[in-house]
Amino acid sequence: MILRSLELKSFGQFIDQKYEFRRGINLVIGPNEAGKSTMMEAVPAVLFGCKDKKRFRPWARSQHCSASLMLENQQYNISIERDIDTDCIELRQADDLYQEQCNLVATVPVDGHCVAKLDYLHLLKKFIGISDERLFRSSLFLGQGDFPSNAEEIKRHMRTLLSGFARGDSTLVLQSIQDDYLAITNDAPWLNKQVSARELEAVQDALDDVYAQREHMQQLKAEAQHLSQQIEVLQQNVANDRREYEKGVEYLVWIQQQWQLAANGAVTSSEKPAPSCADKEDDSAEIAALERERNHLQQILVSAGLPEALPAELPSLLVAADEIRCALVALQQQTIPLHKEVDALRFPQTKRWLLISLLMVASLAGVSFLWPQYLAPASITVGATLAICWGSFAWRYRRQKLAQCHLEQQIAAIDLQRAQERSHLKELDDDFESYGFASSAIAMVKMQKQLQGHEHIVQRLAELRLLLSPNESPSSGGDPTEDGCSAEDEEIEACQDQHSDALAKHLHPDELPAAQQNLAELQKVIKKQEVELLALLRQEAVLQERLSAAEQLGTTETELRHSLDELMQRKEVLGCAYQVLTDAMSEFSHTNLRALEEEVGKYLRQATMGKYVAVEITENYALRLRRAGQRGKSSPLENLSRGTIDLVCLATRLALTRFLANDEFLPFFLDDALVNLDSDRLLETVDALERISTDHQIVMFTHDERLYKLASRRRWHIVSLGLRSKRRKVNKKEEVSANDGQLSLL
Amino acid sequence: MNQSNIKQCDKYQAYELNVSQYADEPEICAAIDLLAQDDLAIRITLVGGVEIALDIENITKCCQESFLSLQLVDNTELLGSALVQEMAQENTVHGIVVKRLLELSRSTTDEHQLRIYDLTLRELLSRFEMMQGENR
Repeated sequence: MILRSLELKSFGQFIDQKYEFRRGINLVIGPNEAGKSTMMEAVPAVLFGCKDKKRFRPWARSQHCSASLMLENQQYNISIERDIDTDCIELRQADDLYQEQCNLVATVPVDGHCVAKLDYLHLLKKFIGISDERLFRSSLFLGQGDFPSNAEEIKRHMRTLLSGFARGDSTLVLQSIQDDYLAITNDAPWLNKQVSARELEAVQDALDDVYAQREHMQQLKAEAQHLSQQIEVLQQNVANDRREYEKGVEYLVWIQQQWQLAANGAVTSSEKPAPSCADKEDDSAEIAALERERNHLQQILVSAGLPEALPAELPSLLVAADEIRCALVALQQQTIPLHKEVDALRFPQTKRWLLISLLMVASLAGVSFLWPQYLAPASITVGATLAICWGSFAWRYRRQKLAQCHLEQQIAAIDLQRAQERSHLKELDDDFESYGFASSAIAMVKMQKQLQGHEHIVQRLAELRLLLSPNESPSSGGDPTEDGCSAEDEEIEACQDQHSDALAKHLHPDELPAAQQNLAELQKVIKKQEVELLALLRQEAVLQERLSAAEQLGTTETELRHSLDELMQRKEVLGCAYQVLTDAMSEFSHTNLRALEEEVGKYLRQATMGKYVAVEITENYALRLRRAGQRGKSSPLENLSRGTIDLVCLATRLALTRFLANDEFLPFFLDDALVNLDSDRLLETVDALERISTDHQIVMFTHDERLYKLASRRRWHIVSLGLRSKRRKVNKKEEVSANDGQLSLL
Repeated sequence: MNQSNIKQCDKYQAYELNVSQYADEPEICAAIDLLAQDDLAIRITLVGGVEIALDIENITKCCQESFLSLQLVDNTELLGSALVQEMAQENTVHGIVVKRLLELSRSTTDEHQLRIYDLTLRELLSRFEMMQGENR
């Protein structure tokens, strides 16, 4: 395939210029800034577009930047035109007779992807064998610095191109993957040496720590639970023991009092025959004080309007009387609305109906006077109306009467209840009067309030009466006789006997020290338990504090898990990438290097005119050349001359171009690639280029005068740019003028 | 935008956006902008096949001003890309890498493994791209 033409409609400094190219070597020559590089860049720009839209925009012009090219091989022609600004392309394919076979007009953006772009790339792949701009540039373009000067550079170029790169190579990618992988983990199956733990292992360790802490937390939780149960049991024990202790203390106090009383009783009985009346006189001072208090309180009650001796039933009687009065008032309130309703129903509203009747009779009379002929129908109408009205009235009246009866029954029932309540009240009044109190409602309310106000006095009086009652003689107000004293003494003795029998069932005074010791021991036990309880509570508080850290542990665990998941995924991805890339490199070496050797050998034979017949490519892309006639013996490239290295370089580059483009002979572009060669090497290289350009079209862009001279001599196709054409014109003029001069001399 | 492509996942304003029908990132940004609300904190999971790996940071940067908070999760699939199929035909290590990953992805039905292969492809393409630098 050759580049037949390149048309730059508005592209950089080119305005509507079309350049034709031929098979073999084409030389585009021009000084610096003449547009050589722009012209060369137009090829990939048309094929793949341009990211920087302003780069090739026409200078000081507003037109859209656009260019087109035509590619041709033996079977078909392809014309591609692209508007660089809008990325609108038009691809036409025609057969060798220029019959159009395929046409695609679409917008193919440089960035982003759409169906049209995929179709376009598919067509490019089909026609030129390469659909990737990076591969196209790196394989078909040879710049000034890209022409290798030694074997190492050729090796590096080969490795880069065969990796599918423009610079760098797959081993560098592999190294970067390995570095990143080893930054994450030390678990590298392909690495023989042992390296220290990395991020993944650190996170894993941290997570293991968290798990261990969590397990420890579970144990602490169980321990805390057990501890709280212990505390609960101990608290119950302490409470029970303390209750027992308090009971014991109270019992000892009580029993000692009882023993004292019993001892007093015994002393009294042992001091007989002294009369008991004398004993009472001994206590007369105390009794007198109590009696004084009683009298004082009684006076207060009397001054408040209350009787001295209040019967025990009095409060309940007062409450009952109050309740009955409240009930009577409530019943009274119920009857009032009922009476009102009954009064309302008792007198029916007849005035309205009478007035209506009178009006109708009057109107009938009017009709009979004015229109006697309508008297009969009018009378019937009035009669019917009156009958309906009064019938309605009678029906309503009957309903009112029924309601009235119902209400009267309700009133009667309430009255009955009131009568019952009154009878109850009467009975209460009788009770009051039997105690000598006034039975009026006001007096009773007043008494109840006074009673509530002097309740404490009433209680104290009851206590005083209880205290004083044994000291009072049964014959109140009379002097004590001997018979009376003896009877009382007997009674007291009987009581004391009973008391002694009862005490015999309780603690004996001899047992008191033992009981006190028991109580002291119980107190000690309680104290011990309290100390233990305090220790347990402290322990529980410490455990609770530790357990509160478990929540923080949960957050840490979540974060670590998330981090671990991410690292694990990254590890998997990098591991897979490493493996796939290693396998791919190995597969490429095994399957493609032999084919490439043959391809390079073919070009090498052409370039060296059969001096070198074959080439060997090692796994690290080092080249070894075999001379003709030396079967099985090959020389490493670095041992060969620089001229040979140049030829090998050209041969490998063209072979690689063909290899990468799926056996398509694509044009090869050299941008001042040979400018650094000295004249001899240049000649050799150009000779070789001529030999191998039978299949490939070579397009050289240069400003080198030597190449221009060679091109002129060897009949290459020359495209002059910019000043070159002017210069040529000037040279021609000079030649013409010189010739003219010669002619004039002749 | 076709609303059927957007599925409300839960009450926490999480959405799923199928991006397979959008040609490039500006179109995806436009689709996301249709959900824009100043007071909305949203998490959008991008799903579906894509031709090239999406630049999630760039999309987030473009759209985040339309939301109170925007979080994008890239769950798109690159292995089905037609462009990747084209790459697999290259006679280079690069081409063989892509071809091998495509073969591996075809040989499994395990979702996790497929995701790993997809991420591996992205990782490798990204590293290749970084190695090349800018050629234009």
